[in-house]
Amino acid sequence: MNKEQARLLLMDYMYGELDDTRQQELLAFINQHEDLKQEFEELTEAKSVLHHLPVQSPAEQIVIMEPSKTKSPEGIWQLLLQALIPKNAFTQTGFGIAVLAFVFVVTGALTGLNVTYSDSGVQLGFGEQPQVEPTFTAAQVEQIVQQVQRDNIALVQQVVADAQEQQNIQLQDSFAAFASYVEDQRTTDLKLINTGLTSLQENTYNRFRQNEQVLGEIIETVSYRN
Amino acid sequence: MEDARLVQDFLGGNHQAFNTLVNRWQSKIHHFAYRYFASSDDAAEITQKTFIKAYQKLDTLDDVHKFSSWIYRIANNLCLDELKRVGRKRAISYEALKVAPQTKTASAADEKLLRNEGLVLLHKALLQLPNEQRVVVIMKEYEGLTFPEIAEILNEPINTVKSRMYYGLRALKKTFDSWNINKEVFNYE
Repeated sequence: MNKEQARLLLMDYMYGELDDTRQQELLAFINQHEDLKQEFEELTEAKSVLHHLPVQSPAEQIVIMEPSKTKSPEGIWQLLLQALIPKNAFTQTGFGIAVLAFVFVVTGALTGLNVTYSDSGVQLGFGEQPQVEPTFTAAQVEQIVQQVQRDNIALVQQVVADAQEQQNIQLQDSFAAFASYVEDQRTTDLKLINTGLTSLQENTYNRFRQNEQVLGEIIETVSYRN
Repeated sequence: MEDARLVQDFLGGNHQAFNTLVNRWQSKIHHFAYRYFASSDDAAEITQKTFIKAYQKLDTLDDVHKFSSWIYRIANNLCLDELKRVGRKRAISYEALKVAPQTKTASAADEKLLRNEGLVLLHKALLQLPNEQRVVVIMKEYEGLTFPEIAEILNEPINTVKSRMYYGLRALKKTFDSWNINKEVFNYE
């Protein structure tokens, strides 16, 4: 036994929870250690002082009233729900899933739920089921293909013809515009040539007149001298 | 009738059995809470809450023979909740610190006053203990529970409980010495 163990046993001893054998061992150990003996006396004194702490009794008696046994309609529903809903958490989860599945099935039945599977995934729909188209025979398919090919050829031909016609119209417009441009240019050039010739003619006439005037003056001067 | 039998009766639908339990345990729980807080108001509130909680949760009690430990555990947890809620300041109740009424009679009145002041200081000393030591001291010294019972209530090892009791008593002794509180103060009747 060490001192720490002795202190714990001391608590048992002070409150009468130590058997005789251990009690003898403890007392012998305490007698051998003066400090433990001192502690024992101090703790005993503290315990005796604590004994004087007053106590106060409750002023009123508590009475728990028995809940009413008449069940309201809401109470009956609550009891029914409590009876239906399992207590265990795992079972509650299963119960919840089952309820959800039930609600899903009932809702689906009422609203005409359609579940379809395809390569793109699962599709959910509400309302009437879509009408299934009858399948075609091979000959009908061949005929449809040929018809589609013919339609396509006609369509392409129509498109090409329209494009050619459009091109011709655009070409004619271009030629017309070019011809008009050339005609305008020619007219302008002729006007310019005409103006140039007129100007040359006037210049030539003026020169002749000047020459004649000079020659006349020369002749007059010579005649005068002679 | 034993507590266990009353618990079984209550669980079997006998509502009156619970009131018998309340009648049997109200004073104990009230005393426990009063020593915990040194306040009769707090003690009454804790006692009331304890029995309301017990009434609601009694069907969760695994072993009906452990009702006493179970109800003390509820009361102790409620005391701790109260301490957390209002803070430690509330634990030092004004009720424990108020001065005893004075009378004009001579020396006998003086002795009575001295004793009353001693009781106030005694309660104050108890309130100054750390919670974990105080609850052990109260349960052991005043409620008379055994160390194994206290260990079960507090869910702590027995040696831990004894250790808290030891250090609690030592702290109290130290406080008593510093405040000059001794047995002679209380000898007046």
